[in-house]
Amino acid sequence: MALENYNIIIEKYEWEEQVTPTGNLYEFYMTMAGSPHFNDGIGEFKCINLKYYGGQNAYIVLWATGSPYGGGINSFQLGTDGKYYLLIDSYNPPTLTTIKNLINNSGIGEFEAYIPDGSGYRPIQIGHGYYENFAFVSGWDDDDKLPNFFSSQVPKFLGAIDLESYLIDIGNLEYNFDNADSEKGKASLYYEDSDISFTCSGIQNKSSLYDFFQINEDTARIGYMILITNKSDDSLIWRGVVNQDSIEENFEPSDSSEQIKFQGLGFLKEFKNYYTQKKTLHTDFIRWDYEQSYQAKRFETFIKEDIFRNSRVNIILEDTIKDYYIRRSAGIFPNMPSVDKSYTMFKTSYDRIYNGNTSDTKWIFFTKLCTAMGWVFYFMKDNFYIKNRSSDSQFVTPVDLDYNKFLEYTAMKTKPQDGFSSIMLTDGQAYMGKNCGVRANVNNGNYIYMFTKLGDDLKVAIPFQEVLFGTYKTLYVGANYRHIKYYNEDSNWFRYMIVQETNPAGNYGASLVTIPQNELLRLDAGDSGLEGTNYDSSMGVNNLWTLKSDHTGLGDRDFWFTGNHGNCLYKTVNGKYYTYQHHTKSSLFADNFAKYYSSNINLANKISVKYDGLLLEPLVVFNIINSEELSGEWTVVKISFDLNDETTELELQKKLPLEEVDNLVVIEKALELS
Amino acid sequence: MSDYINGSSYPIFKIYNSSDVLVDTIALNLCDEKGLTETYEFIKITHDLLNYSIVQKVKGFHLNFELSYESWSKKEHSMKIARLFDYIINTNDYKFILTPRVDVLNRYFEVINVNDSLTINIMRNGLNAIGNKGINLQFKTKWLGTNLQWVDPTDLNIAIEDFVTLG
Repeated sequence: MALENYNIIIEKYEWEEQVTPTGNLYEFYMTMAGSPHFNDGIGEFKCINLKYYGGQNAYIVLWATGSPYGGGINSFQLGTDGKYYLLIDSYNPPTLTTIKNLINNSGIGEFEAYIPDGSGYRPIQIGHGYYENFAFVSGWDDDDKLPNFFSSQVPKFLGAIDLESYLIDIGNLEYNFDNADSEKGKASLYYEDSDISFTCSGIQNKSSLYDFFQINEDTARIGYMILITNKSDDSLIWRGVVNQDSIEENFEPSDSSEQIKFQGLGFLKEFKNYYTQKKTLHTDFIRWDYEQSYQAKRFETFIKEDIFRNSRVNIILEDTIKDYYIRRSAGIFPNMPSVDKSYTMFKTSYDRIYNGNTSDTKWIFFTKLCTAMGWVFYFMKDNFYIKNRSSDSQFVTPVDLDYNKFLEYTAMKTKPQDGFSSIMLTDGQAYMGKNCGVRANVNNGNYIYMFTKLGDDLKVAIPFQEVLFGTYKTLYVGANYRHIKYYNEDSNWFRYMIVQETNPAGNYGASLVTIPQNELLRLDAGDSGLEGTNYDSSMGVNNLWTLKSDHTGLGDRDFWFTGNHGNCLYKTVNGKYYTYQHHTKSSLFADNFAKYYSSNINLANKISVKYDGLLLEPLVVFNIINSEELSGEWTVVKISFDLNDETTELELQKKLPLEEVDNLVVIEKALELS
Repeated sequence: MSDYINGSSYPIFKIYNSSDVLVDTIALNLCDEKGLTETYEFIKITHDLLNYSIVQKVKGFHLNFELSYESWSKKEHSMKIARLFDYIINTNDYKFILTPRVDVLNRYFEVINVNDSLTINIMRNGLNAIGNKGINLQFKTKWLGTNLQWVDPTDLNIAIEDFVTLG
């Protein structure tokens, strides 16, 4: 019996509904220093995150004074509104101990710490208009009460139970990374994680498992963590949580009576449950840095500080993802030298996305961003990985799969996944005035990216080519410039068009491509609704780029646009911007979606294998050895482990050579933007 | 002093209606040489675990009674059995309390009929036959028991009310 090689432990925890302090009512747990663009000599700020555990009804706002010469205060002041404000001298910021003492000695009594709710209200004001350096990064908010293993409240350990003396049956541990399903009749992606089912004896040890799970009691504040480890070295194989909705014990006059069955959910689901209850942060609450003169933040830091700020998670980003920055503001940025008509365009940015999706949670933001980029994420042991879906990515190294250990296999020749001939990502909208340089009649509307062999699918989703230098910074479309754009659709057919300017005089042509709806996989890469950016090519009325929350009333020289979430990211390569538009033309981007893509002609080779042995690393490329027929590299579609008989069931797909997707890639010659 | 437990005498049935009113008492004869057999049928759950150990929980038992009149049942006695089955077959909701040995009155059980069939034959000698034969009655306790209720007839003052409360 192979299970003797593993420990299967369930730990039981309880979260308090009302967080009660063990010492002071206030906990300052965030100190942040740095003001890279603040040049009046004040120097460092300190950012204070005030955590309040009380339940009293009072009001407190942290207020930082700004002037180094203004005699800043580190004290409480009674405001004209009758509320007390804690004034913090930004020139001489108090230590956390000082603030704590101030509160405790204020005599004011009871407070309610202000909770930044993303409504735009800034809980900290400082002088000189610089508030960006202060951030309430996570929060002393209601989430602390969530009975979730990612909550900042440390739960009380209530005990553990070893399942060995209870287990009657255990299901396969199955990983299924992402899959396609039909939603409202249209296929879209969803994410899955590893789950495992357990059947246990409810009569063992005087029904102690019944008591442990508190069946028939309210356990809303209770959580159960499942740990599967190797007995030999205590290494973690799998961590999950008990889905309490799944716990059941049947009573019947048979030997199957009083069996307790439950489902273990992979840790990703617990992670998702937590972050689907946390709203994205208001732009002002993010500590932006200045990168190439614009506010931005290194993506890795952004993810770890502003999205998944969590001590339990060890986030590991693929190197190529680490390099990205996230932009605060969108815009079209001409390079201005008279001989250079090039530009950099950020169709969207964090503030546009936030303003257009104020009710979005961090999870939604993150998954849409990953969809736009072609990234996947998963928990493996205690690490949360973010990587390119491409099997050529950093975390994927070929592992030999010995044909001699195949217990059985079935070869199939079928389409990958559900057989989509085409993939479509949305990429915002564009609307324009008549003199901005781009023709509105054909270019107004929705923009997309396509992967298909049913027609031209060039990855250019911008309706102009250059920005002219002169009095007006007019957008310019050169002869034969081509781009892709959504056209229309009905229940059976989806249509997009390839727009092409046939000559510089401005005569456009467009060819339509029609795709069957049932073969189209559409990916929600996010958008910002009507929170767009207006580019005013006249430069006379507004700045070149301003936030404009609709596309009506555009001036003749205006160009209004939005984009999907991927457009808020960029990196710098050899001193040049590498934006989402570059990424979408890369072979990496194409390979990220190759898993779902096939033509109607080339069907994928697939095999399902039962393998003698456990292959516990789920995201690998297998190199089948000792078989001429099956030799080569195979990517994982689905993998599951049977711990009981130590076998692995694999569904593998023959890895497409890159040349298969090369025809999807447009040569990047025109993309060498400065 | 006896060397046996639970008594040695004949069985009686007390029949109660749905209001727990005693409507009849039927005293049967002492059983024949096959006797009145009591069989304890244990109700248990057994789980075979993945570590090959076995977990068992005994919930209790049902007591099966087999009353044998296969050798001989005189007319009067056979008519008593017929009366008993009239109650059993009757659509009214009767309750049957069996005292298996009337010399141990405080050992009684609510029972249900478990006869799938009822057999009756006549003894040899035709017109001169002295009775019927082939009758075998099977009953089973209605409620799950958790106490064997074995009684020393010399100590009959112990009150045992594990299975039923008489109205």
